Amino acid sequence: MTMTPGLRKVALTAHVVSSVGWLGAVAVFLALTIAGLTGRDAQMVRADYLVMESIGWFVIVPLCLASVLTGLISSLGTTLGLFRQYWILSKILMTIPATIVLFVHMKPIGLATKVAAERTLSSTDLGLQIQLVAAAGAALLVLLVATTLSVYKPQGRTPYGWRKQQEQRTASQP
Amino acid sequence: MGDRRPIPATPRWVKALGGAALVGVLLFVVLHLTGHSPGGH
Repeated sequence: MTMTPGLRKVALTAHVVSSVGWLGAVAVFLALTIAGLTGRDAQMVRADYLVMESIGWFVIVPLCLASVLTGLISSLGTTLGLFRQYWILSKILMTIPATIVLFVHMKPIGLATKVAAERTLSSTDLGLQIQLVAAAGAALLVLLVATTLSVYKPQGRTPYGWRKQQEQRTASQP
Repeated sequence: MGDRRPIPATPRWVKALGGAALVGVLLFVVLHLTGHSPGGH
């Protein structure tokens, strides 16, 4: 099913807004995890971790889901498809696992917020703090690569996309 | 007879990205197998 040009622009706008928002929210989250790990003021460190769960559930998760959903709609609603171009396939293969990993990591994020609500973080929480920095850093890297692919749209059809193109050419020949 | 052209080779950037992704997945698996899993504290 191909969308009308107007609808396509709406879907693309929603996809760009949610994707860039997701990237920005993860960048903020990474800044908080680094501030929490390196901060010297115990109250400031607790404040960093206290907001993480809310940012995760109310900003990052909704933007992530919106980005994936609008991306699927934009691809399926145009001739690009999901599996015809390598750059689109690459984005899917990065963002869907990233979404799953995000949900998995909401547990330690919730744990860090819970700890910060109860007491000052100590050296026993160092592993958790480092894990959050690493997870946020990896997420940011994945999203930067996905954004770069979206902007450059590097050439290359998948074997499936190539076959589809050949079929269309054959069908259009008299 | 239509001209059946061969399927073009996989672009180099796809291979590079795939290799980097594989390293990332392996790192993730190793970290989690060594006890650095979410909530495993």
